[in-house]
Amino acid sequence: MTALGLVHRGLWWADHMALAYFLILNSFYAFLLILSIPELWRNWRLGDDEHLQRLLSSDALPPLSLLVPAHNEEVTIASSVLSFLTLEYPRLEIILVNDGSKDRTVDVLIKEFDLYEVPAAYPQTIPSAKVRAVYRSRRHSRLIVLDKENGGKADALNAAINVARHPFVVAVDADTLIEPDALLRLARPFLLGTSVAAVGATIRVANSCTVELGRVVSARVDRRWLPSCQVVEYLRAFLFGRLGWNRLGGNLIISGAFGLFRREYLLAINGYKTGNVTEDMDVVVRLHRYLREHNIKAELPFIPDPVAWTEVPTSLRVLGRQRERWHRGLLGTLITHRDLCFNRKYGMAGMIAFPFYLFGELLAPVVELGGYIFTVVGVALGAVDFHFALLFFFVAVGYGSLLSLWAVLLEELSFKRYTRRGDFLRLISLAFIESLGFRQLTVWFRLQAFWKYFRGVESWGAMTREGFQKKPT
Amino acid sequence: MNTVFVLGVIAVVQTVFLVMLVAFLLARRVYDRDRRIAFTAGRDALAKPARDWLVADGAIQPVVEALAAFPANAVVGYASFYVRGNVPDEKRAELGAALRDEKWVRRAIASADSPRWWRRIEAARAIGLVGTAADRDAVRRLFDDDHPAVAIAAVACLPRVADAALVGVVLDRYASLPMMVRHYLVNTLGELREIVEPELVQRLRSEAPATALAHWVSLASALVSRPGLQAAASLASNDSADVRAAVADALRRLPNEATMLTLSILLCDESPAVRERAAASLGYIAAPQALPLLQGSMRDTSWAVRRRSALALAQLGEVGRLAIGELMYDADPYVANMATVVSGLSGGALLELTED
Repeated sequence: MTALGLVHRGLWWADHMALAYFLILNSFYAFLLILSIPELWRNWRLGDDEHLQRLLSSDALPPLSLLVPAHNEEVTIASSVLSFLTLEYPRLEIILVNDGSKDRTVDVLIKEFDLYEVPAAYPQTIPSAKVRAVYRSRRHSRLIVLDKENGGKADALNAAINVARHPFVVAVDADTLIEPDALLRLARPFLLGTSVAAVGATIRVANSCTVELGRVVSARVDRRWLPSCQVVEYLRAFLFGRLGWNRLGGNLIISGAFGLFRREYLLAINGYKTGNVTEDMDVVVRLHRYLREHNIKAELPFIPDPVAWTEVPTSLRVLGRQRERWHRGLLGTLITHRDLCFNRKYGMAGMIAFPFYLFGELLAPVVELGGYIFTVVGVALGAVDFHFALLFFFVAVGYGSLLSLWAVLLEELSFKRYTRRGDFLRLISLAFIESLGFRQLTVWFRLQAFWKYFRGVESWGAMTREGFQKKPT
Repeated sequence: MNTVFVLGVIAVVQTVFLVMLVAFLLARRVYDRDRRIAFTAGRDALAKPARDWLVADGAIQPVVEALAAFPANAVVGYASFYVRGNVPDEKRAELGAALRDEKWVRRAIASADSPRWWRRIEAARAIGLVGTAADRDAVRRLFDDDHPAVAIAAVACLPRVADAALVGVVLDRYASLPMMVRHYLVNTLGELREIVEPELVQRLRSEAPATALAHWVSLASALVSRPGLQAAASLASNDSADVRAAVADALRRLPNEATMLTLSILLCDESPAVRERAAASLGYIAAPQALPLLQGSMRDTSWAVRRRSALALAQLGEVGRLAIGELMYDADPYVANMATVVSGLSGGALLELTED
């Protein structure tokens, strides 16, 4: 066989391997989707039941500690804290951690909430950067503020876990908008008597939504291409991706922007790992590990109806930084915990979830880029049939659209946050648009993570935000 | 069959699915809108006859007819919700009798053994509306249901159908119920006090497992049942720390000389959890004779007991606050630190920290 013949054969094989990868991966996504349907149905029926919802507002719920790390948030911190203080939950303490802000975050808090200093008399179970002062509020007895030296988000959360006095803690970002009844919905596993180690919730895109006093009062789909594609992307990720994993028992991610944890287990694993750019995934993987190694039967369910809203990037540069960081964190976590892969000792997490995240998530951009290159070169050299290449591309894009449309359908069948007809039609059209252009862009961003990881980059990258749309007064 | 053919088939199937999904999404919007309109119309149609019946002694028949005209998939849930929120106890029996033979009620009750849990919930709610002694077996089965939401719905039926045997079944399962179901049950059992108390006392005096005993002690406390609490006090020397902790917690509802003595003993228990609950109860009772006991437990080896004792001292009022003031200058830094924390708390913070 000639050299050209070998190249032809190689390209043909590479292209067909990419096709096989695509078919296997998407069959698994379809499987997750099928699994998510009964889960969604069950959660929707429970969440929609007014009797049960009323029951959930009773004082039988376990008390919660809300942990809020904040860094340079002087402009928004007062309204954020007020929105947390008005959440519907019978017994709730809010622990805000000022993580070495260089602005006036602490001064604003002292003034707005009439803070007074108290001695730091609590067990320092998890090491954290030095706590400079502990404050309580004269105006809101449920508010505690820690002022500490800068150590990053994970370190701030660890300091807050030490102070928390309740058995369950909820980690939230200071700029997250939590729906008023989200904590009550998050507590549903307690109603059902499920033993939980952690509970994940849904994050949605707040861009273009109308916000009043820290609450989303009108959910809208952004008209701009970049944030609107992320609306569908988030629906897909949360409504069937994580719900499907519920059935498999291998949820590896609980969003750092809004998630509930049993404090006892966080203490047992020594809290969040500092220096990790995706501390939320790392902590969940370590929880899986701890539970399995100690033979503790506790679940890490995801519940779709407690919703927190977050602002997503509106510029390619910021989106690129975010996606690169997420993928770098995924890479780091998978390398750190590589012994979980195909390890029967760790059950579903080791046998299914971990390999899926490795082959289906981490390597996906590499395979996708390879697929594009081999196809183009193969067609140019005549090694790959043009009709095959065209159909492959059509099927790949069509499959992405199908999954996105399913996510829109699940949203319509269950929670229906987007009530306006215009937004609904926009969601349908976005299901088709998102697979062309946006997906390929994220592939490029995620590929950069490999390069940065092996160069030892550990930065988060600046995340500039536009701020929420205020309701006109 | 080559790969182009396979891909072609996949592409065609995908396109068909995409078209079907879009069509279904659009049709679903219309269906939801119609359903919402029907529900609102049904609710409005019920409002006037229900008001006439409730406040103007009007006839009940128009209420029954309005409910019968309600959308079938929502009538049981809405009727149950409406009755609980609007219909006084003395009127519920009349409504129950009038609805008993309605087709939608009979259909709902017949689904008590349905494989679908939401149908079983409907059955429990329908029994809650119209149930009689004849439904006891169904309630018992629903209460034993694997799905806690069904068990909760069945709990709401108890005031209509319960007898001593059924209450006994409920109490025997009490410890294994999810926390929220237990809490809900407490409110309902409070309405059946005459049947519940003898059954509860009998169980508290039995040789039941520690977990069950601890939960019954907590139930006696939640019901503020005097006979139950007196029976619980006799378990203060039980072998299980869980039972002793539950007793220490429950005794706050039975303030008397004997309780103070029992709590002073429990404050020296080997288990920190028991000592902590005893300190909490002493703070809750706020009797001045607790002062020396709590001053002593400020030197406990457990941080949680020291914290609870400091809070309990603050609950004693002026005498406790004076004691805390002195302890702030104690030679033991742990004692002094804890006293300083509590002395700096605002009234609201103290209330917040002592509520659990």
